[in-house]
Amino acid sequence: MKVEIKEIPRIEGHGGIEVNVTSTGDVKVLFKVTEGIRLFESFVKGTDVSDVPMLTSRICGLCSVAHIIASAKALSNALKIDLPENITMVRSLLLQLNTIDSHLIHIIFLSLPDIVNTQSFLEFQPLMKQHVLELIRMRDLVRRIVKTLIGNSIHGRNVVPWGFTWLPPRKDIENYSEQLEKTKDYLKNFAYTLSEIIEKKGIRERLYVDRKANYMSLYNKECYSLYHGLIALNNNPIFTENNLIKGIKEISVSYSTAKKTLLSNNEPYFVGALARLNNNSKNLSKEALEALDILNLNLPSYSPFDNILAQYIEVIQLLSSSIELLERYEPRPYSVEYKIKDDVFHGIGVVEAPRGVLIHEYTIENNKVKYANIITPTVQFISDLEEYISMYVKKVISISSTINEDVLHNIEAIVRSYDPCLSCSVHYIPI
Amino acid sequence: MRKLKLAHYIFTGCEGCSSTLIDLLVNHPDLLDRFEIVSSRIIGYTGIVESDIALVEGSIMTKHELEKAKKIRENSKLVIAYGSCSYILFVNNLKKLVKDTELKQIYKDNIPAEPHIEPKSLTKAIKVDYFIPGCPPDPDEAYKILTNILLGKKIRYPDKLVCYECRQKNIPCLLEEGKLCLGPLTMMGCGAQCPLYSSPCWGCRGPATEADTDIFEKAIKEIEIDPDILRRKLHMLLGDLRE
Repeated sequence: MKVEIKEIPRIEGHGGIEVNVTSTGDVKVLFKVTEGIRLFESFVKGTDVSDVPMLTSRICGLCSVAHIIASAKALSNALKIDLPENITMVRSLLLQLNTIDSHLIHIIFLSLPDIVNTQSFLEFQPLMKQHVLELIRMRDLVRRIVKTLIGNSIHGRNVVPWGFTWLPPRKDIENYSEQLEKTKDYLKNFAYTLSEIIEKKGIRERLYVDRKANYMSLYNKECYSLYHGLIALNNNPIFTENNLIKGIKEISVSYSTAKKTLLSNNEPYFVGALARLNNNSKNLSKEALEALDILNLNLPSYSPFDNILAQYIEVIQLLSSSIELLERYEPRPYSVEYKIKDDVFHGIGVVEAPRGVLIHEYTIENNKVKYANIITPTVQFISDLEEYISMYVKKVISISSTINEDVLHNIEAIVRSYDPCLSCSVHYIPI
Repeated sequence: MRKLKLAHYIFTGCEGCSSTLIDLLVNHPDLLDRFEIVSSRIIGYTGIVESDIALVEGSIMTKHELEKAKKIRENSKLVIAYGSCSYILFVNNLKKLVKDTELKQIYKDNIPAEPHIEPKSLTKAIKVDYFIPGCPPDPDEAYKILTNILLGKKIRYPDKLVCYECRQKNIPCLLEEGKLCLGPLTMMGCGAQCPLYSSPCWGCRGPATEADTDIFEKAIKEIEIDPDILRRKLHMLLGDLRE
């Protein structure tokens, strides 16, 4: 038996799913990315180091900030540029704001219709539409802050490996923390609403498969960070930025324009909001812990659906920490002096993008990029996604032996809960 | 008044344009009184359907996308290239600089299922009625163009250069500081967003009508610029518009 969903709606990028069930009951799932190939690692070759953040930003419009910061971090690591704390703080703040923005989009437009059981948010009842409007306004506020800081909410204009070409004065961002503060109560209230709908509609159970899985994210002892830290696998901080690439391997497949990665022992793993919560639950704020409780999320969780809830909890977590960083915002110095060096340099930067661990690696020669390697979150969780769906299909056919329309909808909902970003995934990775 | 049917289609790109469409609807909710969204993957309705206006983002990078673009043309009264990947290729034009040998090396035995073609902007792939430039496009400019279409007004694009906006805002000239700024070639309308942040213009809105790269190259001779970097930047700015 073979079923196929050619184009999955409400995901970022073009992709489909093929499910093959053999006569012996084996299930093989192929996640097919059909997005055109964009070859960013080749595009970047020959680029002046100062242009790399703005060029790699174009890999993805939803997580452009993450690519900007990951490339800037990799390059400042490579060129051994020692950045003052006020600059790395702005980098952290930008990652946090970008994650809130991306999560809200995913929750409102891409996932909420699955939870409420409609095809699109346009079909929501008036009350739910009001909620959606409130969340969109929140996203709009976050995007305005990003725009103020880096010149545009997408494809920021001022990030360079040695800091920023310019940063706005304090007075330009002064009112924002107060405005963000005001959204906190609303977020808590909506968590109750969300929890009730999930319970009523039973989507969590419908998509549930009992399993254990590997999860990976940044880990920081001191705070919930998307920028600083070691990389933890299943709660063990075992990788540094420099040795992470040796701990994973990339494979290419003929059915997809995206590649995928596995751990060095050939096991799949997932990354993203849920992996971050699993690894960093000790650093959650009071409000985030409260939301964890309201949404009934027990950590560690291995259920993709819980990734949506984890995103919501992160919105709450990151909102508080963004307010804190905004209050400590210091725009000067916005850069450190950098003199062009003619030697060869190599560096890796790992940050948490909204969808998980993002790795940028560069070799620089004569101030230009000679080699680039970018490993995006989606590429990392594709194998886990395929495995989970095959487990789900096995569970379904053991009960009813057919894959009906409802099951197909559930498969789509599972894919969406991972929040794949296919523009990111087809930037191409060299072998 | 009958609502106009609006379809939104996405080809290969970063999908930042989709994100700005959400900004557009949030900042101008009146649009939902005038338009009915009949197709948009982001919103949850896929497939090519009949529409009054098709907003199309991304570049044509596969055979399948080229066929789809033609079908969109057949089904839409007006087609608008939304954003610079669709309008001129912009960043995606860099793919043409990637050598064939490198491509073969990338794929080795695993040729992807989607046959890739020489990248084309939508403007070159099919007949396009209007365009909304920028990477990303400005939602307010998009609003202005859409409302002008609704009112049956003629769409005018700015014919001046980004330099003009820099002068208006008293932004110090980055070329004079020795930075490779493409302001003297680029169509204005962005508010000199990059120079405003002390960052050189990349020409993401595409060339202005009067843009002359020969004169530009002669004019910047005094600045020490790596010719390869200049070539790559002009390659993005010009896209496939003048091919």
